[in-house]
Amino acid sequence: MIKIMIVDDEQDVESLFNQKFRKDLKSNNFEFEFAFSAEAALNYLGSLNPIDIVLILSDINMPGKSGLDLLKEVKVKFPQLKVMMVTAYGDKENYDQAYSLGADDFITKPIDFETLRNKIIASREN
Amino acid sequence: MRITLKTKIWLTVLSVVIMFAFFILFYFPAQQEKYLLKNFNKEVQNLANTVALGVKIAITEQNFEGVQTAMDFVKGDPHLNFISMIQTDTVWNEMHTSFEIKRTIFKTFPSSKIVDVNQASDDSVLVKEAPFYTAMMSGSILLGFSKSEIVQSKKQIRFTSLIVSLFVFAFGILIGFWLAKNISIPVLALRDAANKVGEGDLTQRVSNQSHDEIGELGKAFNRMVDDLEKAQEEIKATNIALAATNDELNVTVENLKSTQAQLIQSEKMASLGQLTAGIAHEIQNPLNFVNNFSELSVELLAEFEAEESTEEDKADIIKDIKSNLQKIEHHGKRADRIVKGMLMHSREQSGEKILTKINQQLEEDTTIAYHGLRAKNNSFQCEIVKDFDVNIDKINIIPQDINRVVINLLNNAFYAVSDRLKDNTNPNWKPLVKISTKLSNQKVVISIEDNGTGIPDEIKEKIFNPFFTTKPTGEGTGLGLSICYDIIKSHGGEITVESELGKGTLFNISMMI
Repeated sequence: MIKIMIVDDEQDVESLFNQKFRKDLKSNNFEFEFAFSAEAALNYLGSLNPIDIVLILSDINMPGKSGLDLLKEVKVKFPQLKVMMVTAYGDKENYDQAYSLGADDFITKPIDFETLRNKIIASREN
Repeated sequence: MRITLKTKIWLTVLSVVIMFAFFILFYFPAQQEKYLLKNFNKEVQNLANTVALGVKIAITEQNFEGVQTAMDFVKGDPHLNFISMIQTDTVWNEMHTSFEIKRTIFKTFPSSKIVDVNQASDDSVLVKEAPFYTAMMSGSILLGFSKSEIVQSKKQIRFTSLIVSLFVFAFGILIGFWLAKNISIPVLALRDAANKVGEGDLTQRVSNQSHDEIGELGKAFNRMVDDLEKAQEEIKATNIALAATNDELNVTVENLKSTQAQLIQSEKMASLGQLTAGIAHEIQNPLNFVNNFSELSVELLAEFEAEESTEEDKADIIKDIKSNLQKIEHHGKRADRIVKGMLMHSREQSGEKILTKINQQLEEDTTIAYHGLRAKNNSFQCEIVKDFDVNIDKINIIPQDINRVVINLLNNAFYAVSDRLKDNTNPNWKPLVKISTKLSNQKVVISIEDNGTGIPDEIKEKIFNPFFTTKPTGEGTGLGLSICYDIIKSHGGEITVESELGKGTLFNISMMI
């Protein structure tokens, strides 16, 4: 089982991901933890012991701390975690910045869920 | 009266010459005559003395021929008028108590001449007397000399003086002419040349070869004109260069203008692009949800129709589909709101400015905004303070636009106080929104103030940017204040914000009456 944290200010992503990956959830391949801001995500990670999450999927544009801020902090505090950035802005600047901050992958919206599923599975095998 | 330089020189020389001529003509001959007369007197007296001495010696020696010889001493002089020997006798009275001197002519030459013993000088004859004393006789020699020589000499002197003064006069006049010519002609030539130079003829030069000040003046003038000519040529060259530069500048200005036009165009395109990117992004999120939840619903329906699904599964599926449809509707409306906001943002100016009673209008706006909010959340309570300046009557505005701005700002104010109310722990704090107008310096200032959460400094300058919002995703489009800003700007007004975190926010709109 892979435990994945999804960070997005759009609360409906919870329902969307739960339905999109309902089969994986039912068969206990994946487990999701949702956070609706970067701050909430960091708080949650800080409260975990041990950290059972292996992958973070984070939006970039959020009120308060952005996804890139989150990425930076996670890579310092929890370097073992993989972080995939998700954004509607597929521009080069965001892309370069995400990779320079240590992002493991960069996905543009609208999300192709099949590709995402493959990437998640691939990330576990690594 | 204008006296030319020439005349002045002339007059000066003339007066000097006249004075000098007069001197020669009068003073000089007078002096000469005086001197001449003095000499003549002396000469005649000496002659008389000499003769008297000769007579004295002759008488003493009793040599009467000697007397004749002494007297002959002057006889040859052509100017001799007469010579007389006077005998002086002392004649006592009978009582021998008094005496008188008796003078008698003893001898006269020429003998025909009758001479008075007391003869004195007159206009034609100078008479001098020299006494002699001997034991035998005493007497004196009376000598008369003609003044004709002196008169002649005087005439001579006067004539010479006249000639000399005439000569001096003529010479003086010639010098005057020469001076006037030498000074005034080059000066006049300089004046004419200077006038012509003044008129712009720089070919003028003066040809004065003399080494005096006037010659130097001429040389200085020539140098000055040379310099002027050179300077003018330089100016001409500079002008030509300037004209060329000017042409270049004109071309540059033209280029700049076209570049500016291009820049404005590309700025427009860029802001359009930015706007489009903004719209795209803002609409992308709700659209993604609409698409995703629609796809999911289709998948769920397929599962619903599948034979292996149980009744329990089917109930779950129906529940999910219901929720998905609600989400589709929600995000569809969200996209709709964004598009409408955008249209509002980009709409053409259609409203017309009309004179509007602003206080009354704001009163209505406040009611609409408050009730609009109460309709959404009927538990919301907020004190509203209205303070309208009665000196303000009608102002020229597009009323529906200003309504939009005011309602937007009021909604924000209500939102800020209700946001603060959620976390409020201070029992003394009560939500408060103030709306006021004020007339100041021919401007109407509309103020909307709240005691809500306040705006952090780091985002204060972003609040008027399109798509900037602090509201949770989905609650605001981020276009409200951006539209407000555009509307106030198009009214020629200004909108400013003052805010302190945890204290509240104040928006001021100022517009000319």
